[in-house]
Amino acid sequence: METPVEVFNRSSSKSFTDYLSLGKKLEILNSQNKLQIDSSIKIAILSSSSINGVSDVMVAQCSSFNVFPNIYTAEYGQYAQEILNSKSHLYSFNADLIIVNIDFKAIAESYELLPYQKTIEERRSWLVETIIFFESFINEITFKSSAMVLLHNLAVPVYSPMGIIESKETYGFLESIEDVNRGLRDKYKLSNQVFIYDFNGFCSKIGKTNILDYKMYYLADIKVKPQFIPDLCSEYSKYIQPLTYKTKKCIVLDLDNTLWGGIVGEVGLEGVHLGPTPEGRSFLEFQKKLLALHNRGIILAINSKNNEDDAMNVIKNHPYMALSEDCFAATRINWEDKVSNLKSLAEEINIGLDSIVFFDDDQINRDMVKTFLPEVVVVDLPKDFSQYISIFESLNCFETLSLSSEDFKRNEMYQAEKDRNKLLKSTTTMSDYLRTLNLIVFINEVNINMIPRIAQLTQKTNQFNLTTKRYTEENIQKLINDNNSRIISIRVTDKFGDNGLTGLAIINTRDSISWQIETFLLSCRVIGRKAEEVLLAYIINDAKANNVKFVFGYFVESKKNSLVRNFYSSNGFKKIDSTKQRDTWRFDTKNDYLYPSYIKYKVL
Amino acid sequence: MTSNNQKLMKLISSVLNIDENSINNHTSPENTESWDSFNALVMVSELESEFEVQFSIDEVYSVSNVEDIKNALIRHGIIFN
Repeated sequence: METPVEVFNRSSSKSFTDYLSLGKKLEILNSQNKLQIDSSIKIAILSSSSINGVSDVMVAQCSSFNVFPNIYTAEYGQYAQEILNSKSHLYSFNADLIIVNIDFKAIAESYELLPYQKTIEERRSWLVETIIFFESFINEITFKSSAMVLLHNLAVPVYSPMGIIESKETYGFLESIEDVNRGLRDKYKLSNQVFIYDFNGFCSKIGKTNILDYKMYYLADIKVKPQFIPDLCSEYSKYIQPLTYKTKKCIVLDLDNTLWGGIVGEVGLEGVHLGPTPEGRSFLEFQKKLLALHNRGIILAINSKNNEDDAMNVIKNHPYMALSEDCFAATRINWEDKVSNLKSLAEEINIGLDSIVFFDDDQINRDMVKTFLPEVVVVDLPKDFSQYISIFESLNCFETLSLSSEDFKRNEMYQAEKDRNKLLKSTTTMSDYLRTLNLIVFINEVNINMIPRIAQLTQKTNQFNLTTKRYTEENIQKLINDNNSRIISIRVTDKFGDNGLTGLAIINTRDSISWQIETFLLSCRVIGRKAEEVLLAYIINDAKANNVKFVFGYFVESKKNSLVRNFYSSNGFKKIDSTKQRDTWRFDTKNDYLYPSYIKYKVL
Repeated sequence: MTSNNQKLMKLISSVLNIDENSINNHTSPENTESWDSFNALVMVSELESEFEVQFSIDEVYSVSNVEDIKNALIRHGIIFN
């Protein structure tokens, strides 16, 4: 058994025919049950012209990100029947993505050939009718299907019989087509289901005089020349990747000859190429392109073989460094091999290796990463650094279907974590460190709004979890309604930011003499800051106030919670029982349990 | 250097997904399953870019086997030894 991406990696060059045969091969493997498919998507394609080959090429390209698509290509020209008939295969196929490619020639052949046979008024009403034409089809689809709809806009022709005076027309032929595109874009701007695909932009990129080969058109109604089909499919991939959760989150960058020209260890800050010179401009622009992605939520990190001081000197002090130190969520500037560095970066940033794109000018480093970490996307930077930008812009793996406020905040959160670690290194003792953090712990009896997060914490927390009991949302709901149970949560903030709801205890209070802490856990993010002691202090002091004599705590060993084996003993509890299942600890409320002195807390 | 004949065989084998050695002058849509109307057009497009020539629609219609392709290329000045 092989995965699609393994088959992809074994195939070599990537011309149209290569993709065709790779796609066919994958389909054969799949039909023989020899393909291990982890991720799939159903795509329906409706087209007004012949699009033979698109399906095979899509299968081939999707294999590059380990997706095997199930594609239904409707007979060309049959889009109206497919859309209007609710019993058509389009709907029984139950697609996740429906691509609608209705081209200008197909809907307005005579207008294209004899545009000025239409009067101004007729051109204006053509605009209105055309938008309604598309809108009514889209309405039908969205009424009958929940699939995402990708609607091609119209390729605006480059020829007008008016020639150079086309632009002087009161309401010109080309203008009317541009207005269709503008109208469609505006109409679906706020839709989460319908996306307008800028096919006109695509045709411009390829070249409008190249994309349509009249011979192919007359022979077989082919309107995208076969050799450009991979380019078109690659555009569709931009939508398929986020739909199948294959979007990349993080760019890991080398420094020398990647972010600047030259080797800083040899030429120093003054010697590196970066800035408005022929050798330096490409690096400056490359950095700005990276910054623009960073600003919309893509994480950046550094993986470089260098003396850290040399490299940081450039990053901090070079006048044309567009990316500041703050832009990088984590850095590995050392003499370790790049593979181990990438692994530890992924761990520190807390993302999968399959979310990483790696840029390095050095072929050996790239090959090593490709060999040992095949899940990382390795960009083959050319020797000629003036080509970096075009390579960068051709990457289609950072697409997202919408931006959330999280995306904009993400970098701040990583930056705050980095600052915390740095502070930890620079302050001498733990309590000094904690004092400088300005920790505030907010203590809260759990209410129904918090149920999803509370259930999630019990399900996900492994290390700092005394009993590792998992609760569903329904379980938590019941406990909230139960007078004999209390759920207490903590939210931790510090001077770098808000860590959110990160700890909780579930207490059984049925017995008025003794309370039992059934669950006590803390999210990894805030381990090591004594926030747990605030939570425990709150519980014990509250027990005291309610004349409860004992607070019981339990430790149930799991594969991952050895960290807290001694938690109760180091907090004044006495072990009173130990069985295979669990240790039982008891705190006598005659004793005092104080809040940690340097942490502020607020009971909400 | 790759001869034009080698180039042509490689191209046909790649478009039709068949072994180069199985191709001869009489290879045609009649005896080759993968040589359908779509692959015929793909072949036209690939031949045009590989040999930097332009075929007319008449020429496309006149081809019924590999020998015809060679003759068409020869008419456009491509030399086969």
